[in-house]
Amino acid sequence: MEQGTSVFPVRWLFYGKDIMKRLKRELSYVVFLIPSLLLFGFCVVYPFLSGIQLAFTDWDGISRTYNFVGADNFTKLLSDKNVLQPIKTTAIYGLTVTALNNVLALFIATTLSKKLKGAAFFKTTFFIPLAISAVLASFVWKYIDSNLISILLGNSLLGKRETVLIGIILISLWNNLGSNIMIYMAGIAGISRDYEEASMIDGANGRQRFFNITVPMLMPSFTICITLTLTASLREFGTVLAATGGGPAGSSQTVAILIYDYMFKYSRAGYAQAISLVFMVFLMVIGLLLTKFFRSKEVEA
Amino acid sequence: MSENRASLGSKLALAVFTAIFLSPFFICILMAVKSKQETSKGILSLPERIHWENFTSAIEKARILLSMKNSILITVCSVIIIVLVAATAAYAIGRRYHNKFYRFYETLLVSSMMLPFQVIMVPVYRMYKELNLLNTRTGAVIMISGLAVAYSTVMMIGFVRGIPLELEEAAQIEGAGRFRIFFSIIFPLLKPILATVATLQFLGVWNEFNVSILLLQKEAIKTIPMQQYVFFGAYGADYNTAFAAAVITMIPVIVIFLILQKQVVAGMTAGAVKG
Amino acid sequence: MKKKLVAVMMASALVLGMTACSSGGADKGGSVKPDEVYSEEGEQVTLEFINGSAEEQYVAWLDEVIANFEEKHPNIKIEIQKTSIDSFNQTVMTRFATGDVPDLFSFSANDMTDMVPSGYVLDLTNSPNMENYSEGMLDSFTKDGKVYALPIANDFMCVTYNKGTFEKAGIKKVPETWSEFLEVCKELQAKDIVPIASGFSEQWVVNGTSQTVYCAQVLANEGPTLAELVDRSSTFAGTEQWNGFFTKLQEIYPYMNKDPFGTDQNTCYSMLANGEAGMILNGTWTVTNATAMNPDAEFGIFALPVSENADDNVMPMCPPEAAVAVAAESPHKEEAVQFLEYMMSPESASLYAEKGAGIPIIKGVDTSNLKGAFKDAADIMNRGDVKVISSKSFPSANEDAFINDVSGFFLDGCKDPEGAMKKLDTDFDNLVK
Repeated sequence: MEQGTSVFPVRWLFYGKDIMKRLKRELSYVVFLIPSLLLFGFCVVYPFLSGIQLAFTDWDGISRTYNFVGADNFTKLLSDKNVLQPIKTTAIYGLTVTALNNVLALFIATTLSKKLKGAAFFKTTFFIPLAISAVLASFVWKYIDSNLISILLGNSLLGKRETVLIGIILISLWNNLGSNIMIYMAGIAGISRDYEEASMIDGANGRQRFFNITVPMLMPSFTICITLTLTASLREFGTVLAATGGGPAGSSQTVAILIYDYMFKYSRAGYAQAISLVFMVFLMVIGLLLTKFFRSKEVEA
Repeated sequence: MSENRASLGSKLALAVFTAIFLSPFFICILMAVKSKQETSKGILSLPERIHWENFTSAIEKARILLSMKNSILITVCSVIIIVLVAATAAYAIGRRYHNKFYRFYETLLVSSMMLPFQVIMVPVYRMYKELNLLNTRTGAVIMISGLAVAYSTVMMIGFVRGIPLELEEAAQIEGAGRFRIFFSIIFPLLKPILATVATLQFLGVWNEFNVSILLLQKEAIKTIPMQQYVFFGAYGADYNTAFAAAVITMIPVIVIFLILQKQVVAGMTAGAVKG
Repeated sequence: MKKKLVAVMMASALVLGMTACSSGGADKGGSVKPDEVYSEEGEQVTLEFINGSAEEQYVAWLDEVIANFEEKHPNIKIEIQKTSIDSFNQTVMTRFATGDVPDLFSFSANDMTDMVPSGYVLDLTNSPNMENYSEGMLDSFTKDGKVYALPIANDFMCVTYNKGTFEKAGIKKVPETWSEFLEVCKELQAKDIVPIASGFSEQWVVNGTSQTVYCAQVLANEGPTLAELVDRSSTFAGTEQWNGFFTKLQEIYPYMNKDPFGTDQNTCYSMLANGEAGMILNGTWTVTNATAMNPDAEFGIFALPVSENADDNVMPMCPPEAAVAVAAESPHKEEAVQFLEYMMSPESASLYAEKGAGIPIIKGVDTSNLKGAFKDAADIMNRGDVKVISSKSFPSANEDAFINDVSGFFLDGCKDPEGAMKKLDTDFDNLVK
């Protein structure tokens, strides 16, 4: 649409207008991002960045001053024997909870998805514990453990080093099974009936149907459930603190509790921060690996 | 369709699980209405009459009404903020999904979900001290919301992308600005997922522990989980009152949860399909 | 139109949300923040007291002392902040680290090492209350000649027993030698009474029982001091007294309740109070807690006899570990000290004894009306069968390692005292910074 005669490249005007329009459009989206940027930046990004700095100090958590000690905390961490047991404990706890949680949730979700009288009642039963706080769940189960389970089994679960993790795992399952059940049920509901019917026509029995159709088509749900359950259980804090505080004899001390102890009991906040950072890197690696793994297995509908 | 019926074995297993799942509630209520002497007779012993005084004592000692007020204020405020912040961000990211900066922000949000609270515990504490936000409801609301937006935003992005662009383009031709488009078209269409997010966050914030134990230490500002923690620790001698307090704090949450349950399932259904 | 309505509603909800939240912020918990009020003569002052002691009798006593004080000083109000035992450290630490200090707070001897050098605690040396304490009673709160906190009572590590239960079991007198003590355990067990109730699911209980034994077996028996063990000038292995400590634990373990690590201390108090158990080995606070369980039961105290010679029997007496201090940065120092001095006055101390909260160590208190178990303790003190020990607790990190290793020793069935001592030495070596 050039008018040719003028010296001034009118073309630029149009480009200019175009750019302005584009800018305006982009800006209108950016505006929507601002609240999130502000809130997330303030609550997560800034503390995280300044937290990195603390890991290089010897702050004890209570005095107003501290010194920089370079990478001292990290070198100490490498040779700290007190960290080995909690790492082991955390790993065992996390893997077991994730496995049990997802297997049970899948089983219950499958059963509840079938024609079942009173399915609604059962659903509610499993969902309600989600509404109970981790702390309260621990206190209640602790009481049941020392007064009822100890009578049934001869010994309380939380009172022996060999069984304390089992006790905490049970509390966590009770508290959290509901959400995975919900997600799996939603996933199952989303599997088209056609596949089921086609395979039934082909003569596949229940079990074959389950493993060849249901499981592959549930991959997106697995991605969410397994990744989230694992990373959440590795970070678990409130439940363990309220149930045992790390005992007996440190047998249930997870990494999260260890960090808490170093910060508030032994007055070594800088060191605690160093442990947290290493822990975080570890969690992220696991999370990313898992997500990648499951995404690759997802079947395109 | 007899193939689709649950087997007897499954049904039995289900029944057993159900019994186990319900037992804590049963015990809680049983303990809450017994007296100390009756309790010492055995965990499953039945009381002679309902000891309402446990409840009155609990309300008084655990300052339940006060912590209930704190919990309600903090939860409602947080949920509103979370929903709005997450929805707006999800809209921007969803509509600009091809842009690598927006994708980067999404990755950042997802990564932050793996963050253990301990990593930012100390810096948050010092930050709040400088800003005089410790032991304030405002401070707690901000931090709790901030930590929850990542999950909520990510949940909503898929939804936003599922809303057809034509709807917006039609409104654009008519001259509607971005805000109009968002609030009149997108927002209403997000209702199912908004309801899910709101409900899940309501529960999450109500039972929030990590931030609260760090930032809300003064008696008058404590929320229900905090009060439970202190109460069981300090008054452990009096389990009946402690359990009465627990029952009182459980009831509102359970009631609300039952009412909102449908929303959550509906949203999750849609969400799981869209992925 | 409908869409506009939705938009308006969302906007107003947002505004409403913000206002509700910000009003919550301004209303900082519903109490008058001390900084907002200046303390001139006669001006209304509110003092904040973070109290870590939750025992019924203590709380009842404190409430009455506060009521009395507020009557005499109408311009001063005192507000108590309760915390649970676990989160007390965290609460206090975080308050001080951020400069938002309380006026008064429960202070333990452990806190001397980190709080005093940081300048957080007010020096009380010039207070007239100094005269109310006997020689050595303020040692655990003194550094470089300055006193930083005032205690009300002392706790003894001893054996608390149910007098009625002993009678029923036919036990006529309190054991005075170690063999007699084991005999008593046997007799109780024969009558189906749990001789020693232990709630080891709580870490402090493991610590308390250990202290009861090692105060008598090691510290009052010419063993190395705890400080020497911490700085490694002495070791556990190879020390006769510590060997005796583990051997004695070995001997009493069979007389404890089944599954002690799955039992909490409140259940133990209950057992002691209603006759299911005969004794608890822990501090004198056992008395107050057990009494709360059953006010009709009668309790007594005796020193744990660790030798075969009845004359060697002494009750280890350590300077108090729990006291109350004033924050150096409190804006109302004067009023806070005023209250503290009243709280630790002979008048309040008599009230303390009356309420059965413990044995006050404040001079000028008539201890003759102490009842039951506290009377026993007072008698022992008056007879002079006590031995003063300078300190009974390890610093935090060492204490945790100690508790863990002793717990491990118990959980292994007390089979390997040598191994336990070796492990303690290794762990303590690791803790030397």
